[in-house]
Amino acid sequence: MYLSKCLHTCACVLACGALIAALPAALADDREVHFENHVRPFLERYCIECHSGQDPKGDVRLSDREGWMESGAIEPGKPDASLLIQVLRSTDPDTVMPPPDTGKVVSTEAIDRIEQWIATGAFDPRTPVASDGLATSGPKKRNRIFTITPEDISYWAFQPLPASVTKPLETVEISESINAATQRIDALLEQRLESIAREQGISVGVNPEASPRSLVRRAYYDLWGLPPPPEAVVAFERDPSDAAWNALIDSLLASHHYGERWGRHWLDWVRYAETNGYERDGPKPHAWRYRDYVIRSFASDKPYDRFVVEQLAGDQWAQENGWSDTQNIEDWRDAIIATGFYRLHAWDDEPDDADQAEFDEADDVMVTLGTAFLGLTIGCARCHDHKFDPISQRDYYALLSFTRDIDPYGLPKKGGGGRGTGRIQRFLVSDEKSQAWDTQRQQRIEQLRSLLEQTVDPAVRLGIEGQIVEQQNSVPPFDAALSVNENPSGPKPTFVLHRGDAHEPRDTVSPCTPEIFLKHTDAPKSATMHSAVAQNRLGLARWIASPENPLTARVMVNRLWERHFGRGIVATTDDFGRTGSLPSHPELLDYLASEFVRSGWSVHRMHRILMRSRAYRMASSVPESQAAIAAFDPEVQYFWRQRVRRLDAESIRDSMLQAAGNLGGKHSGPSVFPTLSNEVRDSANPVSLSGWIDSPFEEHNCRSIYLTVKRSLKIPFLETLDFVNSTSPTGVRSVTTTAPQALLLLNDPWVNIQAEGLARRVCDVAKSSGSDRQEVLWRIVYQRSPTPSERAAITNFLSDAVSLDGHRNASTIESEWIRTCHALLNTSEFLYID
Amino acid sequence: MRPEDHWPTGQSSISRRNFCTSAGAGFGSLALMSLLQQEATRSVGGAARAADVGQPMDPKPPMHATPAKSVIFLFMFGGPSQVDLFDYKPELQARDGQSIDNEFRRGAKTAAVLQASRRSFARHGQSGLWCSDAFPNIANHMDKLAVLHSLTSDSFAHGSALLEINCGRTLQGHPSLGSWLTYGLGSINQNLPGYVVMLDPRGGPTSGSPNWSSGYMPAAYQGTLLRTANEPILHLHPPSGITRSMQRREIDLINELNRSHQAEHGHESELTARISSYELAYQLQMSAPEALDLSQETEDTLAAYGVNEPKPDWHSLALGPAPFGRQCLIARRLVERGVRFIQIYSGGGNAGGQNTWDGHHGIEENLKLHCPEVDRPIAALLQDLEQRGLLESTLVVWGGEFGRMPVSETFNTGGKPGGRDHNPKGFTYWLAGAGVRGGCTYGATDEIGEAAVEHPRHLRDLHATILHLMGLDHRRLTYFHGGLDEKLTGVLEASPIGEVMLSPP
Repeated sequence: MYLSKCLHTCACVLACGALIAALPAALADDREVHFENHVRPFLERYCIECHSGQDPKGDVRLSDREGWMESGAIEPGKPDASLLIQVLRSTDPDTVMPPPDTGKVVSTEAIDRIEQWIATGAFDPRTPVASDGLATSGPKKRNRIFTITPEDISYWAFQPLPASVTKPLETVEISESINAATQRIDALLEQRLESIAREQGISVGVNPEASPRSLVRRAYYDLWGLPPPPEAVVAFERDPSDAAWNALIDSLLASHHYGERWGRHWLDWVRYAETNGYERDGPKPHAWRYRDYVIRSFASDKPYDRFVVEQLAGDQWAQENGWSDTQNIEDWRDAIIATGFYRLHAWDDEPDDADQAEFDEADDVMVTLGTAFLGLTIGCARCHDHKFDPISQRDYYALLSFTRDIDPYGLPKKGGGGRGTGRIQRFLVSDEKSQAWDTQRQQRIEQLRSLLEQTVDPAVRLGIEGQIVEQQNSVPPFDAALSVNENPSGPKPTFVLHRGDAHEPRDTVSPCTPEIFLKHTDAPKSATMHSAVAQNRLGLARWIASPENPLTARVMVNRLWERHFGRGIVATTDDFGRTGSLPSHPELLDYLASEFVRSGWSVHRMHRILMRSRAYRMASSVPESQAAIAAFDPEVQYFWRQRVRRLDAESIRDSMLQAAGNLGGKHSGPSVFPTLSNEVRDSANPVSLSGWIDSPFEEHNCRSIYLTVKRSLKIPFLETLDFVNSTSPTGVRSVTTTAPQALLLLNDPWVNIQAEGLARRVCDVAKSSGSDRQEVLWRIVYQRSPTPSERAAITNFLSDAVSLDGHRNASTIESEWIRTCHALLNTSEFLYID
Repeated sequence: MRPEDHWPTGQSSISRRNFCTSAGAGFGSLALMSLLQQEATRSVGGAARAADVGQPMDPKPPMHATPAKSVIFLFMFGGPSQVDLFDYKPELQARDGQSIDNEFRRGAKTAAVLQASRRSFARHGQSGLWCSDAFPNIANHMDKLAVLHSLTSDSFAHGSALLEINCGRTLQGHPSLGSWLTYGLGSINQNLPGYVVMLDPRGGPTSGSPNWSSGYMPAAYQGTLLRTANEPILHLHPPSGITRSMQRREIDLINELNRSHQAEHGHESELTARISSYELAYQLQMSAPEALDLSQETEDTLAAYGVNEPKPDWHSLALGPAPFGRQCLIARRLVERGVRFIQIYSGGGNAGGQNTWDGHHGIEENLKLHCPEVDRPIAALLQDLEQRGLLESTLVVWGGEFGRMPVSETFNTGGKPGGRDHNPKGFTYWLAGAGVRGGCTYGATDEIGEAAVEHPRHLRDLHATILHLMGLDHRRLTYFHGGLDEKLTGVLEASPIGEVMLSPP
């Protein structure tokens, strides 16, 4: 690292040297003279006191060239555009420099000389002073003047995928290709681990395989988010062969439960919610159709590139394909519903500044699009060029301009009060049909009106008036989706907004992908990756979903890997830029990304590849022989063992329902509003409660993905257990271990209801099968038999509980059994997979 | 080179070095690490070093010396009217009824009529600070207050304005002040939540929980709602029929089973943390009711806070001082027990009616409703904290999401005069207690109290001030999210207001 730092510095010096050398000698001398006579003394007298060091005022360092380049306070050759001149000449006491309270007053002549200095190129020989502690920390900030550097072009995440990508697999379904990929994973992991071990001089063995029970639990939770039925564990314990393991994975992937599990992951990544947030937290109409679409897409192994295109440009794609409500109906519906992606963001119906708000909303989409699909923090370039990654502010607005054909979410707003939503939904029938329906309704209203004119009898008139109102309020008999609608007058123009301010438009930009992606001229050329990208959303979508896009496949396989191994190959799954982590196994990541693309972007196939690997099947425990690597790599970034992982909020809730035999069968449709406790209702804002009408009781035990996601009022059970914030995209949820969680699991009446259900189930099964209750309970909750010491513990507990239990309840089940079941639902073994 | 190679390691710097462990993920491991000592990598998930077992709320040292330990934030939801309370404007009084051009929403101006305050103002204490007769009891404590008259913020609307004062941005999704403080400092008492929010009995504020959300930080840093009726904390008590001894026995069983499970996973300190979380929960069931048990207070104290005052009957919305007084007294008890951040809302339910400080429909009625609800309780709190020697270590903050206009509102009221509309262009906050220079004012609004003209300071400067008084540097208290070192004060320049401090930075 030391060497590379030296080289880096040298490169800079050389570059500067070349620049100076290129100038006529006399001119260089003049500049130097001017700088030393007029500029250096000026800066030192008026500026340096505050604008130097590691933490300069206003983040503007004027003590060396790099400092003002980074902050952009001076634009060589453009004094008028330079902040320094603006503040020196300012008459506003709040912005003028030096600040009035310093008592320093600058003469106009002195400013003129600074202006002259900038106009002639701002020659400045000063370099950062080491004693300032500069230039050593953090990812390197880019120069203020945006250029793509050689370092940018060689940055790992922008490298094309290996050429093999372009050779699609012909035998995708053939098991051998999966096994070959699996072996490659293990080989690459082992190579890396061995080289680390060699470097560190430590010994590493191969961690043993996890027990069949652990494996089955792992597989069920990873693919379904539910505990395995006891029989599934018994079966695999009897036959733990590779064939049985592969068959188990296949059967789990074939279930709708898989779609529910992985659909929820996707919803985290695109910050899905069903309300707008903010003051009125109004509903997003038909948002649940997007949720169902996502579930269906995962369940059916929709190719990921198609999944991307549908969300970003489904409407345009469907049109191109000639799909409609009569042709490829299901494809057409999905393509429309998918564009709900653009409508998921939080939306302020009473923004202070509606013009700015339109770009806040667009930015929310850009941030999500950037992280979810590309693993890039594009949003950082909204107000200025990205400080670390090669994304200019112009790139940001050029990307944003792809989406300017979408009708805004909100209606224009003038004055105070809230505003309505714009055209954010579509009927899932052709425009002709919905218009025909509307015409018919209008005609009916006209008829009624003329009838009204001819009617005198007040009672009859009242009846007709009622019918008119009914017609006016009637809801069309068509399904509708939250979706984009194209602006009838075409895409709005897009400008680079100075400092992100909607009221300061500068250059016009047209749809274009970021410059950095055009730099790899040696990459295989294709219309979707290069300058020929169509200038509409479909062009954007195809560019992102292109096999040659270096990020899309890498980002998605890394997400899959993270869910199976508890840590991404790039640990920052939403950030592949310089502020993120480097891949721990770059070659492996590239290999997986290539496999993903070659297989036609099959997510199911990736699950098979990952889950068949030895790495996936390893035990999470640390044998003594692995003490050295455990000490060296406690974060397990080299994947030498599996991890112990706590279940996420939804899995905990769903598992309790499952254990109790209460899990409901809902698998689609509008979201469920469960009953809130009085405590929660009493402290909620009325807005949060408006529209919270408890769903029919039989729906309350649905899987958690079907529960409503209201931004101002999360389901308390899920929220306490680290449910996602649903406002910004979240690649990996935090997992906390807190006392309120323990209180929830101990005291929530809902958990007690599940405990009672479980107790009843245990007693029934025990009775009918002739097994003892404890055996049955252990099988259901842990999928194993109790140990002798556990039996002893339960015996003690039961007898203590009988004497401690103040008043025996009237339930048919002994309350001490309910307490036992309740205790088990609280244990780590139930709440963690290993 | 990677970011983690370079970030500062200083013990007192809550910085990337520390937060990167939590960046985006695996607080499971973070929960187990001492934020300040863990050799951090930008990674998460999986096991942490067993030696460094800690909880997110473990106390952490401040970045610079400070006497401050706790914050009580008295939040007047709806927007209290500065020109009727603390910001005395003789010119406004003199020009009652004159017409001016008034910007009542961003960029929207209308002719409006100046409305003098119907309150009478006087100077109080040695400092001679102004306070109106709407707050006869608080007026006795003006020498303790530093009154900031020149705050500004970015939104005319409740929802975004509340988010801005609570979370630093007008956009939803950012961590709140209490989250930042507990992230930076932890909390002293592990048997109580470190960040507590108490709501008005009439309901929560606009937008609800996003106002005390931990945003992109782990959920452990979000505010805990403390209810003064029924169950104070959600799920504090077992369902009826389960005795405490029964629950103890059940926890013992859970622990026993957990310990044998953990024996197979000795390296997983998260499992150890889980076991201790059950003990904490058990303690909390005792400590929370104890903290709320006002029967331990003397009659005099209860009377001073107005805890037993009956609900007035002159107005259906009137509560009198009892609820807020009770919450202020609880706040003092929580401070005594080491809770880091307590926020109490006065006013609740939908904005726009007289149930909050949102006095569109008659400012006099609004003041008559809400001032007596908080006046005695706040005065009693200041006095009580002082007498117990707690004021030195407790920062008290008073204010709302914005102030109100000096003109009579007609926009929202169908032309009916007497109300006042929102005003983010110049409004009043006051601070008292830990490190605050009492008896001073800072900044000023124009002659009619409409906009800050002398030392106008943005809300983020107030945030920087609060952080500074609590021993944190707003520039160094960062959390890595979305490719950025996020700060409470955002990317724009902010600085603490040293003029209101005993020892300015």
